[in-house]
Amino acid sequence: MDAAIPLLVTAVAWMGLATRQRGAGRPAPGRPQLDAALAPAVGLGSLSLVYFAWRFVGLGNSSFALLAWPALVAVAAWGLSGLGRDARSRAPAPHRPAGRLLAAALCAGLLAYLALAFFLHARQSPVGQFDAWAIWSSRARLLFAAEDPAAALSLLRRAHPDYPLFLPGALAAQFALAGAVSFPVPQWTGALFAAAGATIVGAGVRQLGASAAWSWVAALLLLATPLWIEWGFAQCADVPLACLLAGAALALALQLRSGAPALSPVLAGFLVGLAAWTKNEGMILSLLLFGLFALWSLAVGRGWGLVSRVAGGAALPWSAVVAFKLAWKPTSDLRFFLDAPWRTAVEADRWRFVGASFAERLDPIGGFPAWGLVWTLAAAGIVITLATPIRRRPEVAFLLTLVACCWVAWFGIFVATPLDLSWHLRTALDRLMLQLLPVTLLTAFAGAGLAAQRAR
Amino acid sequence: MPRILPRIFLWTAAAAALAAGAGTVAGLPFAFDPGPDHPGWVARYGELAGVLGDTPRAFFVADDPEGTPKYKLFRAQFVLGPTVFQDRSSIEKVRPGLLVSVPLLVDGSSTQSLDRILARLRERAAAERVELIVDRYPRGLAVVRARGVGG
Repeated sequence: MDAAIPLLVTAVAWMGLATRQRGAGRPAPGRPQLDAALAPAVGLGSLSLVYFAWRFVGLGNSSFALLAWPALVAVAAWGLSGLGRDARSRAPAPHRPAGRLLAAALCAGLLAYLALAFFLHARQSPVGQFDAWAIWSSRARLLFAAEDPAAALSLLRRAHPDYPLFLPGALAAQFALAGAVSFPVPQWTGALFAAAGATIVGAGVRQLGASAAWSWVAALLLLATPLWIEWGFAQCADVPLACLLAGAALALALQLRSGAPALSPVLAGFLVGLAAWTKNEGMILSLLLFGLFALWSLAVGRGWGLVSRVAGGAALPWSAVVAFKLAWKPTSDLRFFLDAPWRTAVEADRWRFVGASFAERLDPIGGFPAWGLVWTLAAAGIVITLATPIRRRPEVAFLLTLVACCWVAWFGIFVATPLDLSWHLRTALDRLMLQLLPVTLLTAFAGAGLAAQRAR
Repeated sequence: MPRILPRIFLWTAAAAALAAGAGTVAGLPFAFDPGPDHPGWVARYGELAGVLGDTPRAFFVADDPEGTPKYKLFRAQFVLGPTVFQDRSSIEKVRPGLLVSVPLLVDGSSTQSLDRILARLRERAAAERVELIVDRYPRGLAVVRARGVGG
């Protein structure tokens, strides 16, 4: 029964996103899928922020549940009524039985595949992988159970007490709604993001103008990647962060296209802010997203108005990060990083070692068991994009520069890390690359798909 | 750009997705093997804590160089977690080292490593004026209670 909570929160967010389009007639191709893809991030992110604010001002779980349940039901009823009206007033869909049948069969096959993976992983590791129970779920339990969450979170000194609270907050809020700590809540929360990543990539490729075939193949490629499935059901924060990065990048890219944007800039900013609310490296990604968007927005003459609306959307989650870090003062190991001897970054051996570790994973043969051919294909898609004038489109150029900056940043982090380099690479590189996988696939397949249309 | 190139790319990507997907399915944990992260395995801690007739509590030994007991105790803390932190006085008792008067549960995974861990714990306990009460169980498990001896 507890499994219904993350599904309900996501459904409510999806209805909220869909009803924003009320009166707009038949939604654009890929639009309902895009709303569904962003719904877990928007719904669970909002829940996490509200719960944090609740605990921040000293309120408890019972009052939260008392108000949150009626609010969820009210929003769901409002959304359902809006969707019903839209469906009645909408013109009938164009009749394309073959395409619909194929899409339905693919969806059913993918759902069966995800359900099998979910069942087997949940049976094998009900509390997820090491980092899930040692860091993410532990922090959620403390946040939920402690009278003084600020003091309790700092107890877990080896569990990154200073990591922002997107996932622990979302889980703790759901524990509060369930009335107790629950195993199914983190399991289903993780599963929702594993599926959402593929939907963001698929719907995003379509929204950016490529054909349905490109959107399906991109989504399939992500879901087929062994590490995506492994970490998707690990109950950790890396897959949610990957979804937020790709979702925010897509939402920002859509702002740069000519014509009315498919998503509101405030929503795009909210996703940018939520990336920072997820993990410390999410803060770097959030700044990269916003900084690059501001530069591109000004470069294509959109002005400060658009940038300020995006900043307005990000303000709430960014404020939560600042309040968490400054007011709760969690024990932080960031100082360890900042005080690290940066002179190590100029040692040539480190560059070679980090480069070799990246190359090992990008290698289509050696890296196949963990990654399939996803990186080779993503690289090929980006090369195709760069070889055509498609690269000059503002939305494509923004995505290309974002992906390049993210990869450079992750490379730099490992070169400069004060931790034992081989240990840090062994334990973190796969997860950090996973964070960049959906946005890289989105860029490669949207660009190559647009190039293919142009070549016709 | 030749018109055929994007098509070749798309078909290659579809084939690669199928191949990787087949590999992913083959790699799923079909054979159920409750590993060290499975709560059924961890439940033994709860049983042992129950034997003590005390509120189940466990804390890991901070700054343990070997890591093993920390890992196991941390897991016990996770499973039994909320009961620990609902009691504010328990929070204040947590200190690095063994300055706690609650049961500690140690799983050394093998008798030899358990001996080594216990020897080190005794050394530290002596240095910190703490008395150790050790109850050993099969399969490398032990319940260690620590009690301050003045000072």
